[in-house]
Amino acid sequence: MKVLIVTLPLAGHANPAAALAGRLAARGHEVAWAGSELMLRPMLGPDAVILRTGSRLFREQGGTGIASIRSLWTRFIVPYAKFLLPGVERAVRAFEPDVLVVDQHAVAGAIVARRHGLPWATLVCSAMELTDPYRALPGLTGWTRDQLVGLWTGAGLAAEDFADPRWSPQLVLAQTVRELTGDVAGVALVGPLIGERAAPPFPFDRLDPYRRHLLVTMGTLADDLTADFHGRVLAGLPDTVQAVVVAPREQLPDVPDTVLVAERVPMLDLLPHMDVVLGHGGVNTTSEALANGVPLVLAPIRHDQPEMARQVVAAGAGVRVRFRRATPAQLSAAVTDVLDDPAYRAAARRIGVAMRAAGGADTAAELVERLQRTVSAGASSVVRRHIQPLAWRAAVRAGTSDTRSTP
Amino acid sequence: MCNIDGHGSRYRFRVADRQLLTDITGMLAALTGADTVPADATLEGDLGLDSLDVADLAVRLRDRYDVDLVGFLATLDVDRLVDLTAAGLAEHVAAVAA
Repeated sequence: MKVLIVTLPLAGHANPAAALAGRLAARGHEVAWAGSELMLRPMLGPDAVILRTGSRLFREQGGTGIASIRSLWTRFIVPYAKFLLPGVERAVRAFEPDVLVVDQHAVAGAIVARRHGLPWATLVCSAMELTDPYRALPGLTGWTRDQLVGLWTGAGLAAEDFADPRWSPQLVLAQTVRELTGDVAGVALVGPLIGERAAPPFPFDRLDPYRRHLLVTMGTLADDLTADFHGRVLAGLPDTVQAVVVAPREQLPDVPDTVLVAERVPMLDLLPHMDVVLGHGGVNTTSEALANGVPLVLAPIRHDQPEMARQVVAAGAGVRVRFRRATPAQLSAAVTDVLDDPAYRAAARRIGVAMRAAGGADTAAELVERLQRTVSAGASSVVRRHIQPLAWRAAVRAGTSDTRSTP
Repeated sequence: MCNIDGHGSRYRFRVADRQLLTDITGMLAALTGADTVPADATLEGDLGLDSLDVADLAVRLRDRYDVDLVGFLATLDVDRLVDLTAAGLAEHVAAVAA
């Protein structure tokens, strides 16, 4: 079968999709990507088939809390969906896929799949939706829905047919396990999709075998707040712990030689050497730590990170600290607590075992195959009755779905 | 109790409000470790309250004023959520506790 992948041009979204693409290709399927070649190529390698949509740079988002979620939607998800729509439309016409795999927040893919009546799977790369962490704030969840309805009608689909493009009615692949999320209905919990990826060099010989190891990885949005946080972490760290910090070298000019600082690390090779990970609660790094049975100290900053941290704490695999205000003493106590109490590592290992059992990219590839088989076996009429081709074409002609708006 | 006239009543209420605002900013200062919290400080942006802090604040407000913070937040639209200040919170508490 032919599978078209629509994702976001961010490592945390493209890497898991690439893991799935790799398994699909190994099972004999033809895989192509719709997106920016400029941004996807470095992450996907020279062999990936990329149906180019053109590139537009949307800034990575700062801020914290609800403000960060608002700006994620207004400055990234919505403008990116508008930008991507015509490109995905062209890609579907040119490639004629049997199935689409669409990142939960690459809304353009879901809308185009719906427009063509094609089966599609949602790939969940974030903790922001699955457990509905903001259900107590209808002001936020209702507003988010309004953004999606706006994209939907802007693309020429009828408002009364609105179906939330974050959730495929046919298959939702979530990269987590029940041990973290609890029961989630109607979703395939396949565990993290981890594939081969380029491993930057790392001085493994400088890891001191007589000390325990802390990996500090606060994400790629390095700013003053992160620099300040790193300073507090290192200030309180006991001598018995060696830190590896993922950060630009110039952000930590005065650290002792024993602290290893690198802007990029071979995460999958490094994690087995680590005793604890101090992170911001990004889904990928958190999942990769847990998959390796490594417990965590989490200092969430924005977006879905507080929810990821909540899940890890509830599962007993780590503790949460306050990113902005935790003192050196509090940070050191949190790290020491997780290192010294074997219950955290035991819980992390249990989650890791569940993740491996869930099957990851292999299970996901199998489910995408099954989706295609089910649809081609006759369920397609159910899907196709939702198509709105005439409305869409009319909208294009009238210019109401012109997508080149500026963010 | 002894409402002499509208002005008197309003005056007393304003004094009570000021006291309430002082109490709320004091509560937020204790929560965040700040020395002082200005009335116009936004809870999320300026004070950096995260979901843990909000849960903590909710307990304090319930215990002291019998105010349901989560219920209040549920009535706010997204912009008001982001822009909620110490004074805005005090205003709500005053309205509910009055």
